[in-house]
Amino acid sequence: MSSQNVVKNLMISGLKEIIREPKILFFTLFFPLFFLVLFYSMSSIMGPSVESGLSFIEYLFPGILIFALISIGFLGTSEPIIEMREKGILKTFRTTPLKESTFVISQIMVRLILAAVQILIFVIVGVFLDVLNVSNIIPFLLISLLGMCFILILGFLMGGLFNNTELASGVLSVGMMPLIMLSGAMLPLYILPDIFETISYFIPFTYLTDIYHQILFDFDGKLPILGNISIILGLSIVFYLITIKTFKWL
Amino acid sequence: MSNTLMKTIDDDEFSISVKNLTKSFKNQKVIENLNLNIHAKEIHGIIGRNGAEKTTLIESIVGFNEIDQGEIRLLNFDSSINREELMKHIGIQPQVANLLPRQTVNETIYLFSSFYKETMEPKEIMELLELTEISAKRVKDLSVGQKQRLLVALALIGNPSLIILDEPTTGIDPQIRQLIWNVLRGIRNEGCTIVLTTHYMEEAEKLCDRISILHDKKIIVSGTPKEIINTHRKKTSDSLEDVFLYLTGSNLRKEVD
Repeated sequence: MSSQNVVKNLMISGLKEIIREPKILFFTLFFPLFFLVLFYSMSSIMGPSVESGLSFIEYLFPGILIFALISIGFLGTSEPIIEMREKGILKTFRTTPLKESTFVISQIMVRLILAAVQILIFVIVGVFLDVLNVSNIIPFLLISLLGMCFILILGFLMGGLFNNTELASGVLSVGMMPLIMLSGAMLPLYILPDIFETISYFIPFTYLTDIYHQILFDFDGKLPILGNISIILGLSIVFYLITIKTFKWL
Repeated sequence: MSNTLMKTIDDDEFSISVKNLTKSFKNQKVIENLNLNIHAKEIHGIIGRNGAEKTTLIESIVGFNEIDQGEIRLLNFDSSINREELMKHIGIQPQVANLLPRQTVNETIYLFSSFYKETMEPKEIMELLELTEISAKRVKDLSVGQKQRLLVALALIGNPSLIILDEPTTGIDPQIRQLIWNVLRGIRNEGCTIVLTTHYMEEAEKLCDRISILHDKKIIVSGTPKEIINTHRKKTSDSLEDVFLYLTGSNLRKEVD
């Protein structure tokens, strides 16, 4: 059996595992939409920003999407991988000729499909709420594709680092919000002390946020779009290679 | 049950050869200078008390555990060679094993069969282990016996030359145990080598061609059940259980003396 077929079969199994557990589907797919609707309703009360002219929901739109993708990447990827290791499911796979890379790719693909559905829902809701211009849809989709690949690989890397689901859940849940906040996705960095802006350069999501801001709002970027893309792409390749090297079945 | 590796193993050769194996956990040796040879095309039982480190031995042999020292050869190959290549020829049922919980029995068998080039027919293996009737049942809804049969089926699906089963019949009823024994005898007769751990003396005596007793970090005796019983007949009775107790139950033996 070719490795493409093995990837396909593992993907189908992975999708069935998710679809057959509505809890996972709800928290990874529909929960972030709740925030979108919540912030949209707040937006009408708060009015647009004087400096940028953007409404509350317009500014937060890419941030909520990054939050949604990180949810799939961390909570929907790292935790299930750790759980599979804890329960001995990965050990059973280890008894077969299945390659680490084949397994990792198949699991990333499953989450990519999930994330693609998530992004599609965001696009539809974004256009419907008038926070996303139709002319921006294509670049928005392309950057989201890059972003979700990066986040999913990062999620897999995290899944290899922890041995305990509870510990991972705690660390990832606690770590998720500061990472999003300090990337400038939820609030402008210039309102924070300078040290946070310096820290933001070390957070990969900053570069993803920067691209979204440039594409959607014509903001001046920290780096040109191509520079940001190169950083995310480079980190994705490095993290993927580390993941394959450090992936633990047992 | 034939493939290229199998052709390299003759009747008088060893499917597994372990020399001077030492394994420690947190600086404490749990296996020390252990030697073990398992002949081709036999059912070989490794028996030992609870905590005798049977699973550690099995997991060290198949490469799940890093060993401190020693040489392990599986099917004439150094076990440290490419894992994927070796696993094409070996079927393993780990003791603590689990499967994707929301897949059905049928889906699980087809998924695992896709990992191998040469496989048994999934339908055939399901019939062999009486899984056909529960093929639509999800893994999370299986009973202990049903799950155990599924795990044995997965160890067989790749048409292996060597099968390693860690307590395949623990916690299951006599009917299922008999079924698994018959399946294992059948594939042994087709030329496959089977290694299993057990603490059921009846299983070791009735099913295994040869047995090895693991005690105090070493294999203390190896041979056919008959040979082992005959060797120690004068010191104890003629049941394998009594011989086992004599050889491994030092405290109990002192009490009897």
